Amino acid sequence: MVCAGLSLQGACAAPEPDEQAVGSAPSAEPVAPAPVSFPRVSGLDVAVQQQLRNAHAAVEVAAENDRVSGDQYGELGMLYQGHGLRIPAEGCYLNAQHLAPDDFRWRYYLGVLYDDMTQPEKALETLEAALALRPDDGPTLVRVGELLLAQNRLDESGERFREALAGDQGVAVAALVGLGRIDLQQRRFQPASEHLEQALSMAPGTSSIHYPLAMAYRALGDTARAETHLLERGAVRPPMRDPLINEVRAVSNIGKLASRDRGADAVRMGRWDEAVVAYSEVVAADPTDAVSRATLATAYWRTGNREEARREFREALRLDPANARAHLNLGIVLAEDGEDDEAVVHLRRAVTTDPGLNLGHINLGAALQRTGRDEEAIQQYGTLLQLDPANGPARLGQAFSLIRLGRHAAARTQLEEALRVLPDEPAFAHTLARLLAASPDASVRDPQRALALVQQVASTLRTPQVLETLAMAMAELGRYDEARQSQRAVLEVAERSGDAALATRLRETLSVYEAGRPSREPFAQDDPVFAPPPFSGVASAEAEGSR
Amino acid sequence: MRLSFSRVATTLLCVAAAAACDVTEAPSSRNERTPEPPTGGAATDIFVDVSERVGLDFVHVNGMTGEFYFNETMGAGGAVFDYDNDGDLDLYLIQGHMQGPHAPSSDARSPAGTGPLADRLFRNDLDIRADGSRTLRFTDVTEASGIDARGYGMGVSAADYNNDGWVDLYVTNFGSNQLLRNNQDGTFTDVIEVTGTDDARWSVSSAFLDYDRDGWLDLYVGNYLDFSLETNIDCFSNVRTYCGPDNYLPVPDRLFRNRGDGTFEDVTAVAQIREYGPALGVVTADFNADGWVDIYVANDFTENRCWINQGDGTFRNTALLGGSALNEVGDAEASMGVDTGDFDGDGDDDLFMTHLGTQTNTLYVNDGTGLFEDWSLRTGLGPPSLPYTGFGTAWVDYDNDSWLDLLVVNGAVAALERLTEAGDPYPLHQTNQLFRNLGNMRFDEVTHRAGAVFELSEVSRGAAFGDVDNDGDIDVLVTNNNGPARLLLNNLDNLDGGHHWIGLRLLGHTVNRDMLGARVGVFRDDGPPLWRRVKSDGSYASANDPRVLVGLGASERIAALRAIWPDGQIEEWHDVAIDQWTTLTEGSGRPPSE
Repeated sequence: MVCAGLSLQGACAAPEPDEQAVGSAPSAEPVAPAPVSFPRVSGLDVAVQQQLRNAHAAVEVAAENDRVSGDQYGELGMLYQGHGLRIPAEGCYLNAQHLAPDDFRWRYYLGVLYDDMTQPEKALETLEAALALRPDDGPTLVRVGELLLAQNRLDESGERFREALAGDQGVAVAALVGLGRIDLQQRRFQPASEHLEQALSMAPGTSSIHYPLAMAYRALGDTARAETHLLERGAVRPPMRDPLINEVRAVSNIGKLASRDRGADAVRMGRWDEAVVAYSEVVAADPTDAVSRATLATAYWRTGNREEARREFREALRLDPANARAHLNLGIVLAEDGEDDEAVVHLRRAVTTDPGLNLGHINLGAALQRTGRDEEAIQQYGTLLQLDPANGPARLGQAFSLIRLGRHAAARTQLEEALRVLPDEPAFAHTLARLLAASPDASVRDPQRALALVQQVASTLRTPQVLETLAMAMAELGRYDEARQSQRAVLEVAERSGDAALATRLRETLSVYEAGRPSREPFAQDDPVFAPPPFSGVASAEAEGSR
Repeated sequence: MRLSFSRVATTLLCVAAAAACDVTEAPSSRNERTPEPPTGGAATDIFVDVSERVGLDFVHVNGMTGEFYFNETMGAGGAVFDYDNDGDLDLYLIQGHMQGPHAPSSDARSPAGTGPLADRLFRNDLDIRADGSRTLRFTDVTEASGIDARGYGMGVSAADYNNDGWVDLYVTNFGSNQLLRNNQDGTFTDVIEVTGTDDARWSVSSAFLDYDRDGWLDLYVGNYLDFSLETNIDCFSNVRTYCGPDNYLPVPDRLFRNRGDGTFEDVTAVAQIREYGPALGVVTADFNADGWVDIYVANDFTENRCWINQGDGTFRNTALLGGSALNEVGDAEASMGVDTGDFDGDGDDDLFMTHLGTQTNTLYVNDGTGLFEDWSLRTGLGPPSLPYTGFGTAWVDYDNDSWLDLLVVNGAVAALERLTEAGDPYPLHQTNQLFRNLGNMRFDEVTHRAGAVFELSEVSRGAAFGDVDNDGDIDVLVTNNNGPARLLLNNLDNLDGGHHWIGLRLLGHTVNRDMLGARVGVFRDDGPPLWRRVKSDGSYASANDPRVLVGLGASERIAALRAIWPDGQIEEWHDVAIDQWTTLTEGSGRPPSE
């Protein structure tokens, strides 16, 4: 097994093989059903222990009465296999195979089991026997292909992958990746890149394809493309439709429990790639698990796979429309993608369902502001400020909405209060300085205080915006030479940066100063301050990932 | 053959004298060798465990009490090095102890009964007689050496950091480390504080290297995880077992620059060694052949790092694009032991590292510029390693046929199901493996004829390699977790008449005295040149013989020896005798002929 992620145990994540390959269990089929000992299970959940005891006892009773069937042994084997108990599972499958030699399932499961047990030769032998019963079974062909590849039997491996590719679209991506790996082993880098690109185009979220693809491009001399793929590398394995393995997961539900534990650990440690793998297994085992789907979606989001993230969030919400965190995260994803109208819907659902979601409130306020719904934004920010009076972004957002609505006196009051609550936040002093320097409302203006505030800010922060504010204050005080000098400095920066629209606006203001008049527009209508970006956060994911 | 916890607990209470035992070994000359194998090994065995008979009485104690402390399974290593400059290899063995509520009292005794529960130094009293026959025996000289190393030990590296001609030791611990300066009189002094090389975090493997080519050996310390007994968590499979590394956060490695005045400075940040993972294996080599030694760090379940020396005091990690960070499918593997060597005879250093069971051990083949490809499947090294969790390893030419082979020692880190079901009290033990290089980019597992000692199932960790009896073949010190250390003598010359060889000790004057980082080329009339590197690092938590032992196969003479010193100078020697050990001193050769 070379960690292709197709095995029941999740391949690489398995901490240890359960035995040494040589000289362990017999590979030959038993002449009669052999007794299967009940394993040590003290480390398992009590309910699982009981489930196993009951199932084991039932089969034992049937065996004692000579009424045991292949199905009974096989299904007990599935239960053991699903719970990671490979030794008794092996015994059960061997018995099932003996009692029902023509049943494909038991050979297949046994082959997969041997692969998990790091007994590749037995796995190959058993899976080839399964193929004899069902020659066109896609998952078996892929598994045999991978085992042959691991043994460097590349031609035979390629045949199996091509057969799988021709017969079962559900395993096409895995088969193409297998062919790409064979090409790499043969140092045929061009066809390797083609096979892997094709696989990636069929399943763009399969981040594990990027690394071998990068190695192919590196060998082809395309370092830039190699580096791009290296940046996108991840642990998400090729998808493979494998109904039999899904049955094992469903029977035991252990795949789900183990994977969820692993996934929660990965989330806790910020290893989102691993979280994707683990929670994909959880969801495969239980497609109705809305919380795990939401966590999988978050993991996809954190690994940059936005399409999969959106799809999983929607599915999670279809299963559980009251999942506030899923609404919140989907809202943020949509907002990041510029789809603010739909984002507002989900963010509103999030804060309605869970009013304590500060991240939901701030994002809803920002989305409303971006879509020009300033009155609603002011209310939304106000709701958040009742929950969290020291929330700086909410105070600033509320002030900007007030400014855009022309309610400068209210904005000034809001900013004065914000400065009192958060005196060390320069954004408040700067915004207030602008308002005091350039508000069209004479009752709001106070150029002396504006100059003092902006000079204080400029002592530590000399951005173009601060210099522009300095010019506004100087102009309002009638110090036009200094205002022009400061404005020219800002204009130069804008011209160097190639921002033509900004330069035009700054030039217009400069001409106002040159005409001996002050500015009466503290912020242009298209100033980015009126469209705050979405606020991201990981707190939601932590909650989802918790066990 | 395993040593269970109950036996360790019992032996902890015993006090027994360590009897130094004699064993007659083969004489040095190939033609004079006696045909009989050492007592205790079958005539067909390649390696024979002679520990008991040569007086190597050491049992590692991991202190396990059922708490499943994560660090219990990770130690410990050992060193083969010549501390008394008598021309033969002595042994240093790292010890653990009880932890937590069961922490040791000051009078806790070692299982061997030879002293306190602490690291041990064994002096090699090899006696080679005029007729070439020899007697190998070891004497525990820990007390006389003044070494008091009672930390929860992990690993050791050996080198002459102060260029006084006497090799020193750097001991890594779960906790503060120790730098044991050789006092040139059989004793050592712990100078960790004076030198400024301590690191209180969990260190495992370390390596000496002269990264700035100033003639003084610097020190790289690989650190593992932010674990403490207080943060130990419970982990289960079907029964309770040891946790995996992903339950704890990694801690940064350290690079110490030798100032040449007996002190070091921490240059990790200056050298731009910023990325880190849970480091277990460290090895150094000049991977891109630019004359500056590079550092490769094998991390546990995290991308490995290949720190390429920029020649200006800084390093750049090129492992990812360079193809040595991840295996062929892009997985970060649980790397433990690592070694470099020119296994394919193309003149550059390739990488081999050991991994967890269910993962293959991995061979990264160097194209000469520091770009690697994973050849684990093509060479046949991958599949045989799948069931095993590998730790110590090295490229060694065990049969002197001129091709570098591989020896791997194994032992799981979490309970093995079949052993658990069998009621084994410490269900981690596995057998070790030997792979023969066929010279065609393929390897053949020859464990089945490696010797009876390869049938023992133990929890092996460290492996230190060197010609302990100076007879021209590679021997191995294997250290076992919670088990006995074993000395495996190479017995191959008794089996097929042996091959020719040449043994070289390199000594520096203007460069570092140990010549670590130097490369030696052996030019033959009837075969391609053989390039080997002077090194003591690699494997897992262990220190190897820095002398260079080159198998020559059937070649009966060598045309020239070429040495590339660490500072880039090149010297050549001609008419050097084979089948014996020779010292090459800097300045004694002549400029290369071409």
